[in-house]
Amino acid sequence: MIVPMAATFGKHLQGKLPGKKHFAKLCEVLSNVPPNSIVFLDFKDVEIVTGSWVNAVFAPFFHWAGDDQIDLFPVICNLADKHWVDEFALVADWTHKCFLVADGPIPAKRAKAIGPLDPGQKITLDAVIEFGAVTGAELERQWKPEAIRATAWNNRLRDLYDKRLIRRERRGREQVYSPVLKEIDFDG
Amino acid sequence: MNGWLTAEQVEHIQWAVQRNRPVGEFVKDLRHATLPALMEYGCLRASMGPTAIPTLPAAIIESPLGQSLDEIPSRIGLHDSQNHNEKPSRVDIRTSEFFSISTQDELDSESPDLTPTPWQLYAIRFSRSAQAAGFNATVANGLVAALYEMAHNAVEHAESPCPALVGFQAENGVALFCVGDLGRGLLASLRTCSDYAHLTKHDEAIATALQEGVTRYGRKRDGSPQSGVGFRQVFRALTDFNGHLRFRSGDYCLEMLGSDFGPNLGEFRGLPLLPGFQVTVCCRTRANSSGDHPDV
Repeated sequence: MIVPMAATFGKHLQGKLPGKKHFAKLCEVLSNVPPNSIVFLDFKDVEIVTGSWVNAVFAPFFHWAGDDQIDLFPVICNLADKHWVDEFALVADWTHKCFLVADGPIPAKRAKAIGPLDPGQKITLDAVIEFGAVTGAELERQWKPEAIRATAWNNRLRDLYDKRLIRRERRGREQVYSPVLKEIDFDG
Repeated sequence: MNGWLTAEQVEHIQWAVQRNRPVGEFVKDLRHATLPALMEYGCLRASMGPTAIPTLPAAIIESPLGQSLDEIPSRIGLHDSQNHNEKPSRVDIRTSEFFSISTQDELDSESPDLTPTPWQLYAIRFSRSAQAAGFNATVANGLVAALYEMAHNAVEHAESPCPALVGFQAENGVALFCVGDLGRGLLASLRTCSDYAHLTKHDEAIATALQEGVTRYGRKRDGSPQSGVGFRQVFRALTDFNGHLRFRSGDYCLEMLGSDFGPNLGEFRGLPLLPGFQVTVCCRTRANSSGDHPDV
């Protein structure tokens, strides 16, 4: 699913009140998208993005996208100005969320994770990217650099899933996690 | 500079009036005015009254900047009668233009498919005019975003008895805008929030308001800020440029000059008390860092 942000919301994405309205409209636009889908939010042709708008839209939007019945994985694409990425980084810090930001053609294959991740979460994301679809028990067996129990892996996997950085599917009695995109870099 | 009314001259006029010194002769001899000076003079005249603060001379009123101000009704401007021109629907380039704004609804549009609002057209004119003055589209749109944030602050927080006045000027490598209101000022606004009820001085209030995440709405239940990123947009707009920021509220003014801008920079000066909050954001291209007349 691709959402053309300029055509949907206008070229000037600014302000808290418009942001609140746009959050509601974004939910409406995505209401028929099946769970576990990746949603590419394409900022091509957008001229203005401000922190107040990002905060008003994306703090609640990521919460909504993580609801069990919604379960969407947003990727923010084609932010034309590096300052706009900073606005997302600020909101990510404030809200303890993490945004996947990508450039180039959609669907993107590669993105940068913008926002706070602790060292354990970074290791876990690296491991999921390396191994592809994986469970906590498999990571306990396959991860060589250090011995980490499956329970610890599962906790970290769940954190990354809550942050919308990895997807989750049930396979029998196990939860299998996989990266949203094939390549994810960390910011900084 | 001789014959120029600058923001600093407005301060001098206010000091003089408060000491019961005559200012009429000085004002009468003025020939030019900067945009921030017109804005702050208007705030001063609206708060102290036309008897204390004289009308500006014809040379200023009939200047292009004065004529732009004369186009819109505003208590802070040259008149507040309503029988003037309708807001333009074109997006022509202009060297200066003012806008009077009183509600948040005027700033925001419901949908990109609707006809642009007068504010949106004004913002487009500012962006196009800044581009014509020598700034690229990204910088021009950054200034428009900063203007939006400051105008939004004025209508959301000021509780001004009259509409806020917004003005831009753009020519020859300089783009600047001002937003002024006659409301309660930053200190009284922030003190409505228990997080900032301890503030007692206007300079503390200005310094606090410039910090990221500070708003009179306080914080969310999870401790994250509700908003408070408007000034960040202002600092960002001036990145890599020779600029001049001026924030006046209560009995203090904070100014930042040069190319470093941020929440903990600049110099405070004590001034006579002026109601409301007046913001000036001036952005100059490097090539035009020392103009032949004052901008602020």
